[in-house]
Amino acid sequence: MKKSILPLNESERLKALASYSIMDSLPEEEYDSITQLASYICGTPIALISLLDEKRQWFKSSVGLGASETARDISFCQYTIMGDEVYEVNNATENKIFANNPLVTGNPDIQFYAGAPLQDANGFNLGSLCVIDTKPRILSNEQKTALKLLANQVILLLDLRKKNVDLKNTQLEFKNFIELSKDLVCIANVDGTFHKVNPAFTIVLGYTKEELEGRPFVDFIHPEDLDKTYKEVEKLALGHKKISFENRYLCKNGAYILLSWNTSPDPETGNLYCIARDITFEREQQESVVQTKNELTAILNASEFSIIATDLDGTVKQFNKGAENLLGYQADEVVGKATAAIFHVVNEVVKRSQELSEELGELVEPGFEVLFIKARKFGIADTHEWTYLRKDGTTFPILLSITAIKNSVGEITGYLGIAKDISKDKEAEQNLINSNILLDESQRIAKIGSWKYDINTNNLVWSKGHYTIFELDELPENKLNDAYRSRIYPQDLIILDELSENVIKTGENFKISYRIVLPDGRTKQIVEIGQPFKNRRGDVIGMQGTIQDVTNEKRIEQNLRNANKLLDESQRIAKIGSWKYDLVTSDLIWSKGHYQIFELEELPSDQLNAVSRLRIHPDDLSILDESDKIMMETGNDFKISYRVLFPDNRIKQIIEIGQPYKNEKGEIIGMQGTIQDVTKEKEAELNLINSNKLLDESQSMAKIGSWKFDLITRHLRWSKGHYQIYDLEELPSDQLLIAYRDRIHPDDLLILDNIIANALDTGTDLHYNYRLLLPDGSLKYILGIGKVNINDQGEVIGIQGTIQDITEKTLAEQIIIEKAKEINDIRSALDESSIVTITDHKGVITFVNDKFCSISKYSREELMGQYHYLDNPHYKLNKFIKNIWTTIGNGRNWQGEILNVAKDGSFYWVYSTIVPFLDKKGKPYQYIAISSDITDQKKAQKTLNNALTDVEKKNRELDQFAYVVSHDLKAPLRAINNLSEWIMEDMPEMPADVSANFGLLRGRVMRMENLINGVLDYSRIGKTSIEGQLTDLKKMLQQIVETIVPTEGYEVYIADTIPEIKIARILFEQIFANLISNAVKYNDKPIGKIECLYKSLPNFHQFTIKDNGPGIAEEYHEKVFKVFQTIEARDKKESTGVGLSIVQKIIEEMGGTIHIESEEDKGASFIFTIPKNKK
Amino acid sequence: MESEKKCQEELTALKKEYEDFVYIVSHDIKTPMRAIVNIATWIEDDLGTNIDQDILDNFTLLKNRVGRLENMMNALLELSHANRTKMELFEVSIPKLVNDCIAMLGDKTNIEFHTSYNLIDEKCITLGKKLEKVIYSLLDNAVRFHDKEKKNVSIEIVENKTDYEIVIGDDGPGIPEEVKDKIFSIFYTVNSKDVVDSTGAGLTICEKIIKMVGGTIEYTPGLNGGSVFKFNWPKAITINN
Repeated sequence: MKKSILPLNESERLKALASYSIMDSLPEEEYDSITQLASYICGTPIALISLLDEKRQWFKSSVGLGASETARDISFCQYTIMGDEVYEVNNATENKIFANNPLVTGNPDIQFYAGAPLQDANGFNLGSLCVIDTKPRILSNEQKTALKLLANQVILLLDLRKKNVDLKNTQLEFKNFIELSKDLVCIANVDGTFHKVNPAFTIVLGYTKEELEGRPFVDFIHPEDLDKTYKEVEKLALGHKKISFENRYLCKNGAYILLSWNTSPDPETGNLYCIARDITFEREQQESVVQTKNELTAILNASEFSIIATDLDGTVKQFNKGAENLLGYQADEVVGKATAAIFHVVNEVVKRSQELSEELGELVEPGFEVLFIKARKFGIADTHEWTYLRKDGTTFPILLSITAIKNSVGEITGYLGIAKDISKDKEAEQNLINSNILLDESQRIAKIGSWKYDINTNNLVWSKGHYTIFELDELPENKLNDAYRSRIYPQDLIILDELSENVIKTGENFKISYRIVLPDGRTKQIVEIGQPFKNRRGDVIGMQGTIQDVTNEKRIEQNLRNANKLLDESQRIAKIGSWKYDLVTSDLIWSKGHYQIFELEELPSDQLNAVSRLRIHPDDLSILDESDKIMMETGNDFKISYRVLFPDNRIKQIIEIGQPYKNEKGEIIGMQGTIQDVTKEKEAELNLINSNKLLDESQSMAKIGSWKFDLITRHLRWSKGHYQIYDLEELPSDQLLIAYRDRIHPDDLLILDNIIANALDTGTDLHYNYRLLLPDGSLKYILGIGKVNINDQGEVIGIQGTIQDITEKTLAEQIIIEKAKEINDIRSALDESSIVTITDHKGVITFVNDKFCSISKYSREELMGQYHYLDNPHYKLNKFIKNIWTTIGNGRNWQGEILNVAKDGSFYWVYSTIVPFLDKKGKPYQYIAISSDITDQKKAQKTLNNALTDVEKKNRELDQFAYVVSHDLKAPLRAINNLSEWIMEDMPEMPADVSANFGLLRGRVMRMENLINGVLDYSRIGKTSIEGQLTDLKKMLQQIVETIVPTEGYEVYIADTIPEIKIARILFEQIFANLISNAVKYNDKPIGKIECLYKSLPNFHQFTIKDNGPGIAEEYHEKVFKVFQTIEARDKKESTGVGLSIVQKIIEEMGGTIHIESEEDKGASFIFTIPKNKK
Repeated sequence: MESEKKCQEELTALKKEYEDFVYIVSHDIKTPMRAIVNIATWIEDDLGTNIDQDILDNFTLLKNRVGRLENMMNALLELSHANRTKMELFEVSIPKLVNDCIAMLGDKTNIEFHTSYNLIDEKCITLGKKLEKVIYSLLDNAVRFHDKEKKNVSIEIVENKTDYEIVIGDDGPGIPEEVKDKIFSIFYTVNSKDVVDSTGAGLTICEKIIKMVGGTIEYTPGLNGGSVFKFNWPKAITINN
């Protein structure tokens, strides 16, 4: 039967072996020398240090053997490790176990084997030190012992190796930990330089290891933090084991970061081990929270915005300063009392309710719901223009955004309305409308009209000016074309039709003049400038242009050509003059009209040129000269405009048309031309330009754009402001629509289309919001208002409106809403927990929370605007307050206890933290005080102080009382003693019985004095402990019995066993006297029996005073020890119960216990114990 | 809070210690005291009358001291009982109570008592025995320490809403300013106990009783010399040990 050859603890053994990390290690000299020694001592050719793992035996060292390992199951050593002793096989060939072993039958032909187990400290046999021979042999005892000793030596080597490995691992781990740590870890020398720093230093601070090591670490500390740091480091010198501090550290890039340090000194070298963490971010976060809180407060209190929070039914919950300013109500008047609907104009709400009913397709009741329904339904801020109604009845326009306030689970708990006064914006809008009117007006004055024609529909649109020139009343566009054509001079109509056909073909701009015939026969000369407009495919789909009434100009031209005599007159009327200049003679000839325009008398032709030049505006002379020059060079006609400046500073605007005239040879010999006084026209033109400019400017200033869309022509027109808002270059009408739709946020396009479609269907005014998505991904928020254009037939022919860029406002509002929510949370948390007051930089209260109101008993109105500490006579301008102001005035926080006076004159204590809020210059602009009520604490403290004083007083009184009593009682005692002495001296032959009595008397006096002293001592128990003295208790009991127990009617037994022990006499006298006198006092038998018994317990002396009296019912066993409780009525027996309570107190103070064993009518035993070894 | 509670406990402990002390002194020392008294009587009997005047004087003095000691012990006992015995509430007529006290006083020759009452109801339910004790003690003091041939003692009782204000004055020697703080201390006498035989416990007991019922007592010098003791006696008594 094959025996199992695994040790019982094999798995642990393998673990133990692995822990040495020895397997397959390189040869080491120390081990080799042991095997050599073993081989030498045992006289064998082979010696091995063999270690057995799961499968094999491996040789850490071998002598005389080539192999480095063999399988475990054929090994000899597997048997060695089964025992603690040397395992010896003297002749393997004859051994049952090994006879067939390949190591025996083959190489290395083992015949002899002896192995000593390698047993480690935990008893695991890791392997063996063995010697092997190819001949049978027997080891002597000495050799076996040596083998064992050497095996021990191997184990020592293994242990040493293991320790080294462990140490190395620990060091490595530690090093890795430090190297990988994100915290800054360093060792600083005693002299204050960096000794070693970890890589985190480089990562966090940017310095290389070399730049830091050897440098004093204070070099990197922010100068302002040096003192602080030194102070902390000094603590180490005072014996602190660890210091923690923060300071700012200079990075290589010049920035400072905030480090939080923990430092401990090495107790031996004094080197400092320091760990630091970069808390810059945390601190910044912290600061930014404070900053945000600041800003929030600022926003909340911002007076430009009215912020009103309501609950679900509209009741106002919060009403900020802005709301107070804008609406004229005080928060207290409306918070919790009014609904937000009171700020709205009824008609508007009703109208809006109708709008919303249509828009949302459901009935919206006119009421508070109108305000929030959109915010509730869509969860977005609903922005709408409203009129707010002030407390005094006046109104003003606002832009109101309403958002739903949700709680953490997303339920709507109320609404937040943020309103902005848009009176100014409205004015701008009005200005825009005005400037449109101006445009029409200026066209009328300039006798200009504009038009637009849709080829497909034959619809024609005219500006007012156009109607004026054609002397027509406004007509629907489909009828206008016919009316237009009927006005045109028949011959010219043909030309016009030809032209428009041509334009449609070529797509070119055109200019044409034609005549119109009015019903009364008058004709007008019209100059028309036009341009076609195209659809996306580039087809001409319409035309538009302007016309100008040039009847006057045309007529004069005609007259000039026809009748000389009418020339001057007509020129005068037409404000036209003509001139002729002879280049050869330099003669200048003017018509009368010319003279009139220039307001000159007729002059000789040789002087006229010089004089006329004086009339020309100096700035415009060059225009004239230049045009003359060009005409001379090119022979072309010219048309220029210039100004004439009169001595009285009036200016006339002149248009001059000139042409050269030539001789037969074609040489230019002169010039001639006309001038026209176009001052009025110019003025009109200028007005027009100005008005457009004004329009653009006002639009761009107000971030407003205007647009107009012709429903028939699908023509869209934008003002410059509109282009600016859309961030587009000006575009032709046909491209504009596409570009426009491209810009609109895809999510809003459909809504916008619906809104516009709805407006077109119903003809109602437009009011809408949408967003633009610009190519760079940014958003713009647009508020639009619009109005449909309706022709005489009541048909919608177009739509126009203005847009306003409200991005900034919207973003601000969004932030406000977010922040308002946040601040609400913060504030409500603060309100819940603390007393909060805010004052401005002068200490005038600007905010108080409810808690402050309730503690100070003032109402909010009474407090606002008051000085915080004004009414407190205790602190008025005294040092304490000055000190606070000095601290917070310098921007530092102040903390401390403040005594305040409430409205009713009562005082209350608060513990306050006052935080100054600093402006950009670092000056405080407001202070927030966060306080907690510590009045109760203070009261408790005071009560405690009083109680302490009471105790002290009582203590003193008691001392005094005890002293007085004992002193005063002792005085007569001494007198008695002295007197009896004197009497005995005076009577030498005193009778014996008298002398004995005197002796007795003096004995009692002595005893009494001792008692008094003892009692005095006892009364001071706890302060002076009484010295114990060896006392014969039996004797003491006898004395007590003698003085207390009457000789008649009592039998007293005092046990012989009662010992002599070291105790405080007086206390035992108290105990026994009280117990025995109780037994006497309550005795109701003819013969009272009192027994004093003793029993020695392991750690206690136990005494029993037993009587045969009435006994004590069990329910009273506890009670009798309570002070002042006696079982019978007070006056029946002269006992107060104090005695037993004193007895109990004495015994318990000595560490013992007392109890009663008794039944009624069977006597009572008072049993008490006293510890044998008093502490 | 914790320390306040501790304080209160300590205070209670101290009060108890005080009570214990008085009790121990008055009760435990009573036994040897009684022996001393008895032995002194035996000696007196044995000595007879036929002895030296010196010895007789000394013995008389000894007896006196024994008596005084006994008085003091009794006073302590009384003090210890002051807040425990005779605690019955019963109806008293205040003028009658005062008259009873006056009647209890010993020699009343040459003493004029001036009583003045300002009472809504002469009768009241109170700790009658205690009130009697206080008034009697104060009257007794007024008479006992009087140093003039003709003695005037005034008793003035005014009934207030919640208490009675009782003022007892005399035209005796008064109490020197410098010792007036000590007069409520036990066994304190202004003069030596040999001048006027007194244990010096009366005022201590009075004060203890008055404190117990929740009143206050104070001494002020009389306008024409003499002493004035003023105390108030609450109508509703809560025992305040």
